[in-house]
Amino acid sequence: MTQVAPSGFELDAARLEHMRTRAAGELAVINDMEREGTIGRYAIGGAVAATRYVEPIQTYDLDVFVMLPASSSGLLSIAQIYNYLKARGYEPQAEFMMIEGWAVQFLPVYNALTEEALEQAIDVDFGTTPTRVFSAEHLAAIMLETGRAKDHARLVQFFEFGVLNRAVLEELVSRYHLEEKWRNFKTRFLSEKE
Amino acid sequence: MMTSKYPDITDLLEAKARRRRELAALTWEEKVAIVRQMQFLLPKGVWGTKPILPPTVKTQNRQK
Repeated sequence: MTQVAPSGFELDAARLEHMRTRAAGELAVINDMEREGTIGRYAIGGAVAATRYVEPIQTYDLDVFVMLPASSSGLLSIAQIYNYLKARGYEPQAEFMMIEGWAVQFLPVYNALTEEALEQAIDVDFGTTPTRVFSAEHLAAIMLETGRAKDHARLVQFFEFGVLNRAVLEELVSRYHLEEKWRNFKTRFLSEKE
Repeated sequence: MMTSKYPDITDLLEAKARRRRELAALTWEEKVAIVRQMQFLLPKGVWGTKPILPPTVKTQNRQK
């Protein structure tokens, strides 16, 4: 059976199910890592998380933000993630790990904003597999902070589809000192003046 | 009366906007499946090995 997605892609129902199943399998592997203590709390960020709120966004990897448990030396290391996965037959490719056919990038939280985004990530189900994603407002604040052209383009989509609680976003903007970037974004992309 | 030499594409733009809204309204699982589908349609040059293709794709390739 073939169904035509609204995008115009012809999606074979079996292929669609296959892709869902593989993605769920990938998340199950990451859930195992968390349960077994290889990683601390994790949540999905980046384009795949943004896709939860807007239309599908082309991306090649899955960004997984993690809290790394301290090693015996007290240092945080991402090597333990690679060792765990390699022992289970998954291979690194460039900066990614290939899990169930998808490139996964593990990113330790790298500042207070991403740490809060991880702490306050939303529990969701991908089919029957539990996982977490960043809130729309945290994603928006991270996009503002990062400030690449593609971040601005995605952020415009968030406004276009009306998925943001603006008061929550502006509170994040204030707490993480993103006022200037927020002003510039509003002027350039939302045609708003102070 | 002067007429434009260019066609009116209002309908096309409206259809695109409608399709985007429909896509955004899909479930997250459906949208992630589409994202993965896009990887197969538009493979990135940096892949050392291609993502594992679903069986239906392999079958189609074999028939060519």
